[in-house]
Amino acid sequence: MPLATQRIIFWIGLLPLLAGAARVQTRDGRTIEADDVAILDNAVDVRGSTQTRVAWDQVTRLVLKPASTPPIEQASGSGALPQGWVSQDIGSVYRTGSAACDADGRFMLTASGWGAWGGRDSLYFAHRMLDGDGQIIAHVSKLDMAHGAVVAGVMMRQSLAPDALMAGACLYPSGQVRLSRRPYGVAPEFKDGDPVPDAAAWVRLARRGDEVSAFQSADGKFWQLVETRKVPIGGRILVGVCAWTTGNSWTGSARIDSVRVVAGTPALTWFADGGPLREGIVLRDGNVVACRVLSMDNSSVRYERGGKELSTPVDRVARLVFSPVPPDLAAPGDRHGVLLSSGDFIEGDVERVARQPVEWPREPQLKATVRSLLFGSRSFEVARDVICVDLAEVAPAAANYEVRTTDGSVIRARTVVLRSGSITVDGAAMADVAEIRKL
Amino acid sequence: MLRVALLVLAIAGGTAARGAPAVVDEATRARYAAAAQEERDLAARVRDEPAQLAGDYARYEGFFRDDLGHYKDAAGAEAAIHDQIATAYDHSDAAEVDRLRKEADSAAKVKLVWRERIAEWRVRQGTAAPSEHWYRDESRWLGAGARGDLDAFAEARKAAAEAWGRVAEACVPGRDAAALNRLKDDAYRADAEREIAEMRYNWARQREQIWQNKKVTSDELTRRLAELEKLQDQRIALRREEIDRDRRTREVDGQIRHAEKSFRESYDKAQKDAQDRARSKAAKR
Repeated sequence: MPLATQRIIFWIGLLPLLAGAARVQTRDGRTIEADDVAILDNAVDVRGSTQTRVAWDQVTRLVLKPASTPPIEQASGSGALPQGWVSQDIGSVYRTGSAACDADGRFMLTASGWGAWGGRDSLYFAHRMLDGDGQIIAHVSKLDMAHGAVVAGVMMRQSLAPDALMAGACLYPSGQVRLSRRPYGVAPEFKDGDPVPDAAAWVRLARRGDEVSAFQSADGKFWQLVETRKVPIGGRILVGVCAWTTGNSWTGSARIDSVRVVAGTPALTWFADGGPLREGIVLRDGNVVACRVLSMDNSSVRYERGGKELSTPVDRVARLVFSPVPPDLAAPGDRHGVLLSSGDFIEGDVERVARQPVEWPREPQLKATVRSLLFGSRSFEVARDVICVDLAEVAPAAANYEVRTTDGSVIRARTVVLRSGSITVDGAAMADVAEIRKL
Repeated sequence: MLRVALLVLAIAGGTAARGAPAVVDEATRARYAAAAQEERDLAARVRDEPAQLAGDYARYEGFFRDDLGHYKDAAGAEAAIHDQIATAYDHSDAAEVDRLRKEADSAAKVKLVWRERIAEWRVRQGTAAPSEHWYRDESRWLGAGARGDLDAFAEARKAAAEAWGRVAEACVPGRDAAALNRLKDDAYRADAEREIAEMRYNWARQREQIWQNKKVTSDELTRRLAELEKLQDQRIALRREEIDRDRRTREVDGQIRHAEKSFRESYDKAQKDAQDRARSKAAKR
């Protein structure tokens, strides 16, 4: 098979898993959807409303664990909130607020209040529950400031008490997105600009342990980190959309759409249709190893997988992935350099990835250093800025199968054998197989 | 205004038949023309008042944006009457000028209520109101030990602003004076609490600036701090006495105003009675 064709197949393979149910595609062009797929000896049982047995040599694609992107939060259309959502004022407010949501997922909040700062909050909050880590993403599409300034965005709270621990990523009339939080600490400079007509922004609030990060975006695709702070909100929390006016003497409204609540540990980036690989190494032969990259120099890449520290020669590596990659950039291209979370690609030779000093009082952090013709040598903090580092193109090795696991690893295999209840890939039994494609 | 009033009296006195346009000489016509121009200038100034006020208090604009519409409407209504007065002067219609002047006075009273709402109460609300920007600036170099005092000060500012806001909202044409006074009293009290919270916060901030390292302690230091806090409590007690005295002063001032009004009404009634008696005596003769 020509290299170009192999690259296309590889690129298609890196696209996200098909959402929806498990499924089987066959040589004769049929797609059989299933609630469950059972692995038999050289066959699969597709179990849905009916049960169909398909011989393994007739299968071209087997999806065992489809991707599940959380849907946009939508109401039934009656103007009420989506199922599981409730809303109320928090703290002392000038006028009782309200929240409604339509069938397209457009939330309309009416609110007054002083805001989320100081000892006690006063605002309007529409919310649902979230267990553990997770993130909320939304598009603040309109701040109606006919009566005065309005602030709106997304929020996480320990409780509905006005003095509860909380964090918010909210759009201000000046167009700035800020991280509100309790407990309060040293805050960055507060820029009070003139109100921007038609101010709008995508906002994202991610909770990872007791660390909360606020992001903003112009397109809902590439994100800029606003701030990361410690906010020890524990266990089950309230997550949702919020709004307030700044003087608690008028009411204002805000329109917020495309609200998604995504459970699970968040990464630097988030894409609605992003691939399952969160962190890892794409090798030049087309295999992908889900792992945590520790460093890279001119000879090797060190990484951690399954609690073990390993290394691989740098000349085998095509890409280092630090955060989910947007679908249209799923495969490394012919450019070398660093793809930033803002969407910028800094083209150049990546010299190293290593712990380097950052501003006081933070500990040294992992940084990627790239030398470009345009900017000279620049370093980017991986946890704050870097999606991936591209070192070389992929030249996929010959293979008969592509096997993807749930952590995003991809194995290009010569043989895949089905035995009752187990899958053997190139002679090794594999758990957590999400998808198998015949090439 | 005095000139205009005198001119109105002159016209009223010089008009033989009330309501009918007077036949006037050239000199009077010239005076009327000048008065008409003055009235038109006044109308323009009245129309400009809301914009000027909005400019003067632009930093509190968020608090009175909705009120400004009422003020503009009231100012526009008054200005329209001044324009009508000017037209009446053009027609040498003294009776119409006289009638419209009373209308203008009523319209001006309505306008002044809206002006008071903004210039007096909304401005107090805006001055008392804290902002997130202010809070962040105050927090920037604040010692941890003063955080609670800053939060208390912020809450006291919010409470005072809300209380002034309630006064502003009750300040409408045809307002209930007694209810308004009660709200004002609440607002003065909340504002006094704001001042006390500010005193406490400033002391706490100064204490934190001096006593930066809490590991540094001594008996002497503890004694001095207790002494300082005792004096600060005394100062607050003094301020509370002042606040109470101010409240009593306002109360007595209110009673004086009420008594003056009753006195004036009594005089007007006595005067009317005297006139009635004189009229009836003359009729008997």
